[in-house]
Amino acid sequence: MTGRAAAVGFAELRPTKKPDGRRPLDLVAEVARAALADAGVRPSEVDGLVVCPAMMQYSMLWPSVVAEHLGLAPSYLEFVDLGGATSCAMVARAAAAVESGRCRTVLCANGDTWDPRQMYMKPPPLVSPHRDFTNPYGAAGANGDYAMAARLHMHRYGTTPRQLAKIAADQRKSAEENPLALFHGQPASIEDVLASPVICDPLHLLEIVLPCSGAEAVVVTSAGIARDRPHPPAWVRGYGEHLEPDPFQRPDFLTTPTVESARRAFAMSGLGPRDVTLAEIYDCYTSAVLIELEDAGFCAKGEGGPFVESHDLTHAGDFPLNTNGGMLSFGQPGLGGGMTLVVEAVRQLMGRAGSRQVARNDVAFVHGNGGTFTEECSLVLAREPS
Amino acid sequence: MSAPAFSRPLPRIEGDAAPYWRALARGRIELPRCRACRRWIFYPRSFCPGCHSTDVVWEELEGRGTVYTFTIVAKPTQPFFVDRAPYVYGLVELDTGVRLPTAIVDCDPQHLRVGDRVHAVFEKVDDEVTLLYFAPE
Repeated sequence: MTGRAAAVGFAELRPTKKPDGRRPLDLVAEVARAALADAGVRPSEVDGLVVCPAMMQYSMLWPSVVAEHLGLAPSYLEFVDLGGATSCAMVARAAAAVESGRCRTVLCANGDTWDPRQMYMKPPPLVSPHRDFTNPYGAAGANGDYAMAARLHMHRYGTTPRQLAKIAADQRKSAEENPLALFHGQPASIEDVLASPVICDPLHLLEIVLPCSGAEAVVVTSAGIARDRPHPPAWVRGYGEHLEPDPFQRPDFLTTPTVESARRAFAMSGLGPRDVTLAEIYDCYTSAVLIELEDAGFCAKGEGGPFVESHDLTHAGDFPLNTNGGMLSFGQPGLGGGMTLVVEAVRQLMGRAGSRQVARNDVAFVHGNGGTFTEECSLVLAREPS
Repeated sequence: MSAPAFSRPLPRIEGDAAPYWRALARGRIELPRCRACRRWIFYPRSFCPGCHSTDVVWEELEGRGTVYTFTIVAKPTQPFFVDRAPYVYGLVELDTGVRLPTAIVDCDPQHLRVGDRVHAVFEKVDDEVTLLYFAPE
């Protein structure tokens, strides 16, 4: 099946911290229209729609609400709710639907607003019984969990705060070439990252993702249609996802389902970590990036610190990582879906990244991480079909 | 103007987990254990998430273990804890192997280390709820 579906268009709205009164549905509609135009696809040609929850406009029947609003008449509709793994999983489902013949052209769209004044009121409830055993003790949400992962990694492998901070600093350099990024024009060195306030020790403010308003969309279509588009296709060569329950009780908190999701994605693609020329890896926190790099096979377990220290991770570097600034510098619209990472991979593979275009854009590894290393989804995208 | 008072987040004493909280109120740590595969079941359920056996029995665990990992929370996300920061939230691995999310109390956070030995500290919140903290030995 591999390489029979491709991303042929995308769009991304400028993220913002200042809500302007528009609803998530408005953002989804704007970005969807732009992505379809980018792909040269008419609304009547869209026969698949994949969407995800909008935190600030949580609605039943969201796929049909979006389809009706956009005037679409799809034969395949899907709603993906996997936290940070959502966007990779949306593209994986779109590709699988195309490969199986269920539909030919799928719109994958994410859009959400973020209003800090409503942050304790609006998100949909999470009813996991686990919360009864964490919140009474002062659990600090994802901040606390990823800080605990960072501390354990430091203790066990000697990883340093500077090594973690370098991930954020290198991404910030790439954001200097991305006028859309929330932190464009605000350079931050390793020292700046380490000088930012500690939120959950050992993680600093600039190692923690910034929720915002924004929207992104990608159009996935079949091989036949893909070859006749305005832009060169980014072929979906492989995808894999995996969930393992309860990260706190696993044999090792620092070994994540990324091992399996990446293994599956690479196996399907016929490619491996050594073939990857750019990586877009879920960066809700610096510690997440470090651990995902290890588990995806880019370095051995425990060697993430020396790996990020010895590579230039900027768009111009020898291991281009999160080349639009990543969510840490671009912003994180929505329920942590990471669609901006997918969009950037497609943009780079199409050769449309402008001043931050990577030197070698053959193969991209894109990864999403939901929960606390709970569910993971990996994509392998490439300029050439298999 | 005074800051708004946020209610303390407390567990719901209901369903499969109720015996856990009732045991804590008696100063005991008890968890269901699968008689088929010997796995400890946390959070408590009436079946084993490992093998789906319903042959589970509640057993007592000793309140001693080690700090598996932790964070010093400087900026809490839950409003109730804002005035209580900084504090240590972490995972304690009991000597039986179960890892409990908890807070480490009676310690100097800057001197706490992964692997430190800790023991259980029971804090009665009200007639229904007792929370299980840990402190260095």
